[in-house]
Amino acid sequence: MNDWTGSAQTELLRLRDRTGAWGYRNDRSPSVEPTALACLGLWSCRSHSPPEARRGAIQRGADWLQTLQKSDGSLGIAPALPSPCWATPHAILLWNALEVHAPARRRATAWLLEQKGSPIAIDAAYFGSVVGHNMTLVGWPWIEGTHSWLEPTAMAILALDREGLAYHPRVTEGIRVVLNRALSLGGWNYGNTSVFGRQLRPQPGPTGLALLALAAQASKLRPRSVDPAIAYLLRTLPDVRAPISLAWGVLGLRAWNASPAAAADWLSESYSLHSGRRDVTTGLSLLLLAHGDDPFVAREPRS
Amino acid sequence: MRRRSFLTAVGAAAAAGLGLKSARDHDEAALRADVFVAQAASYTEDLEQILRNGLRELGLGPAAFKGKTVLLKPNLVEPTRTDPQINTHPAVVRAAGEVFRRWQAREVIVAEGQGHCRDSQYVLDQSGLAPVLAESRLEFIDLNHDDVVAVPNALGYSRLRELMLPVTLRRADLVVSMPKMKTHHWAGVTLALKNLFGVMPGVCYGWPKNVLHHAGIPESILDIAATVLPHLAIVDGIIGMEGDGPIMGTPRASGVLVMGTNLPAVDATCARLMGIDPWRVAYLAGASGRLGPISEAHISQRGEDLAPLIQPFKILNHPCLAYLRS
Repeated sequence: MNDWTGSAQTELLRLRDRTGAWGYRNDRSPSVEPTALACLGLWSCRSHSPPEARRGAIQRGADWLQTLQKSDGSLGIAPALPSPCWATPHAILLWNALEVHAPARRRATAWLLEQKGSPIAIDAAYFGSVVGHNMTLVGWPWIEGTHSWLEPTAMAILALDREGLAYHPRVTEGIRVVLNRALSLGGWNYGNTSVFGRQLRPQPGPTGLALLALAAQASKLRPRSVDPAIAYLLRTLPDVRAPISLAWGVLGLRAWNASPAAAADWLSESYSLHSGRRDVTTGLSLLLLAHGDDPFVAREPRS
Repeated sequence: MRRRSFLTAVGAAAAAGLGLKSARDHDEAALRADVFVAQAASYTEDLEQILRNGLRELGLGPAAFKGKTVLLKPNLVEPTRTDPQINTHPAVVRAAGEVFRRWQAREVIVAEGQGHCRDSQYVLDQSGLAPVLAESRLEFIDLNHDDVVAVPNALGYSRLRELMLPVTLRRADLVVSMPKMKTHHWAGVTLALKNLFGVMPGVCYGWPKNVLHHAGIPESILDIAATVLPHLAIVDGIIGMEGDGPIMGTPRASGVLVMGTNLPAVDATCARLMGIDPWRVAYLAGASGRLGPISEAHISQRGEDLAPLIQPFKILNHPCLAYLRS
């Protein structure tokens, strides 16, 4: 076992609170996203370390998430925050990876399929030069009642893909959203391509997440946006050691079988630089995911 | 409605034509505020001394900060190493931190909830602030992922009945808004008041903070300011941004630091330095009389004379920003 992943798992386990769940910081309340990602990160190391050693903690986290599920199938972002519910896909991904809580998963999936970002009908002749993306396409919003954005759409696609719905019409349209938000020079940001004719800048995190989402239908298509995005990540990640951005970037590369050997060193360096911090839960989790037997990556990475 | 919907979709609602309540329905005649303008040609100047002098001119000395927890809220918009006009410069953050520490603040923390990138560490790394925080031993709090508390909307300009605020704001005795001096293609200008969008947690408002866009940018700015009640503004106008702000504009070396305890007055002064009539900026007009004065006659100018420092900032050439031009 690689040294850093062992200590990273130990550190991650220490960051839990008394309920067995994780917060974004170890001095903050537990939340759905860090708990789901922490469990996924620990689970992704199962081929490196005995699963029994971590299984109890992972199962406890998965069970904690189920206690937050509402009658409509969704999960708020924390016990005290029953809405918004953008972290519901995270719970689905964990339950799916562990193959647990099947009824809860089904309810969450059904809820997710019903969620839609608000499309905007515009006068293209007047506004077409101002905004770059197609605002009539429907993906998923961060917050109910608002527009579709890149990251929640990509997370929803991932979760639905894992639930066997890769070719559901909602996923297909979600992929159209992702493709539509691609930057012409490669990569993605939070979901704006251009405003007033200026192309906005890509970011490694959303780019990795978008590549993961596009892999859901990769057996049928390799969109034109994939290769420029891979090139952007290969150009950018060597200088990125922020754990979250680096890990999503590596996950995106792995999804398309494009992760270089050096990525293992990047992840290790990132861990060394950020270990011991109070707010490292999400970063550690994603570093482990990017290194491990990743439940985000399709069982057979696309070439 | 079609125009409003469009603006909402791109993460904005223009300042003009939004149906704000009458901009002048609150009389600011009885309000007064002091604003200090300092010249600083570059980030290598003795910014600590400049800030100390300015704060003392405003009547703020060690007694105002001794034993207090001071929260510095810079403007960190985009992760970029190459564009000094986008984010509040680390040297200004460091200088403010040092001033308050030397004045025996109990603690100084830096906090931000940036709207375009979830990964705070990446933004800190790219903006150059991460090493400064480490060297200066300044704690950083990611407001996007903080615990939150629901607070009644103190003004009610927007339809938001309550605001979800990070608990870290409660830890702070003094909140200091530290924006960059920039144009903004939806709000007109982005300064100390607009910078407060960054205290709103992304976990509740999204990335970008689309809930606030749907509620109206000018309305939300006023509601947040009235609810958070920041105590001080220090505006980094050493290098500002003109044109397609707040992220794609070009650098504008204005060579100023602007500070004051009344944010509308500070922002109105900055707008004048940028050659923009603050009454044309909807949220500043809306702030008049409610949150402070914005008329020159009601702002006591300290430090440098304004007139020689005014450098008209370029405004994006688009009909939707025509209202900003005289």
